[in-house]
Amino acid sequence: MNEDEDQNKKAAWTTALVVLYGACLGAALFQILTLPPEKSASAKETPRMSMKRDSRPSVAVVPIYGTITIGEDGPFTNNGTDRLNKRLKEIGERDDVKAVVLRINSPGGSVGAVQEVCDEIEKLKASGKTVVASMGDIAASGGYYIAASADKIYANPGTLTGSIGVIFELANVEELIKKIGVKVDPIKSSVHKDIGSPFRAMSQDEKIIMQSVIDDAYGQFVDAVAKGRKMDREQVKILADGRIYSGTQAKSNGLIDELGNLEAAIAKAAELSGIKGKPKILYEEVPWERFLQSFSQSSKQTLFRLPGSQLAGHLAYLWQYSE
Amino acid sequence: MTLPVPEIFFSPQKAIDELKNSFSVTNAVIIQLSAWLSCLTGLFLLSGRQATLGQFIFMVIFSALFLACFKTASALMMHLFAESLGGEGKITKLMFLLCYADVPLHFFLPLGLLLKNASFFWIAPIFMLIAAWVLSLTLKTLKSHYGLSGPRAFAAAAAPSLLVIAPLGALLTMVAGFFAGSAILISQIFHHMSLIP
Repeated sequence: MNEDEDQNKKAAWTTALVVLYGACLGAALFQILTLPPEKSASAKETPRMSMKRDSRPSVAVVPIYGTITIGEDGPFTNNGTDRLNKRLKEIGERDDVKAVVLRINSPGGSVGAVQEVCDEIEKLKASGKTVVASMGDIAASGGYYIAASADKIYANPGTLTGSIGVIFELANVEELIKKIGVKVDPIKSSVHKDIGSPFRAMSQDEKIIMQSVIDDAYGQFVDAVAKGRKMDREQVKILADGRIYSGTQAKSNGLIDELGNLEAAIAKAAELSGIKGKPKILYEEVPWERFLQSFSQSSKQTLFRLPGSQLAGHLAYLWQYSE
Repeated sequence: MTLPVPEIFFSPQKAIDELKNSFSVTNAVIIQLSAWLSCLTGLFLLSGRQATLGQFIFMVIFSALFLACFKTASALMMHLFAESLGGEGKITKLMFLLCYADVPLHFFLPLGLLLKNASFFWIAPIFMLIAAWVLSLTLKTLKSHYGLSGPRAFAAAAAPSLLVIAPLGALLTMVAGFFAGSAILISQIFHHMSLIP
């Protein structure tokens, strides 16, 4: 009799636990499977872009961090324009992405690289996407050039922006190489072929030539800001003396639209693109970025993000003293 | 089918002693599979991940195969150590009895539902508690099945970890330490070479 009672008790426990287990499993599976990520054609073509897709209208957040340069990403750098432009192209082709937020934390970069990114942003806008820029700590020089092409610009009150101008720094190591007994004899086809040589001082003619190139690139910058911000060219020139502005100053002189963080920029992007309710937000996953974050952040910054270190001898929209 | 509850929770040694003489292979396999399923589902919930049905099924099957291999290897090593320490018992029976030692893994499922998106600092002690519980049941199983004393059962249970997992962990730590140290060293060299403050 006791054994029967024991068996009945065990059977009752078993039934109760199986029912409880089934309920828990059902609830868990419901939560796990409710928003399944779909495999998209573009995701298959480009495995590095692991943006998850569902049918909701989305706002894509595109990070533009560090010095912007032409080229592929290296193992430790992820701001080559090849990747960035490819990413912007993909976003442009996606119907579910209604708006793009450019998350900018950059002191600028090489002139060609910045202009290539701006071209892609213009194409995005032409395809009907709303583009909003959200500035982080810094969006100076080329960082601002890119932001200026957005429909709206958001910055934090303490963001460093502006630095509208062009720089082309050349070193003169003539005295140094003399000391170590090296003489450099360039053989050149024409008189200005070695313009910018670090092994001799620049002539007056060369300075005039270089200045004209700088002035031309500067004019392109001013034009881009005037066009993007719908400002008078002369008004932009007054602001574009190379100085930096805080977010608050930039708002008062019309270089940005609103003070606010990334979340505010996303909300504005959703609003401008007509998304009703909470938008789906797509972030980009950069595997190396995560890996490097496992080391110290400061090491990574020092190692791989020296501003200008990749731009020696390049014409640059760059504010050099940001890190 | 009946489960060894609530004895396995409140008087585990008694429950295992009883199971040793009258365990069911089907029950053991079902309990083991449901324990792994609970663990995986709970981890999915705790990490806030989502998946399609296909992805989830794939993960369950893949994990089950991986864990089955791991469990078999562990049981084999435990058996070898238990016998070399003077115990006597069959490895097949040990494998089925060890299925019951994983019963606490079922708690991952309700914990996943309750602690979804909770801080790691809350989750970590619970992980450790469940791991300690599983270890305790494993020790009791070894004691009961091989007739070993507590320290000897512990030595046999810890052998797979000490011989495989710990050296592997040490190796990984060394490799990670080498790369992290190199990164910091190189960054400092760059920093001192650079004119940028």
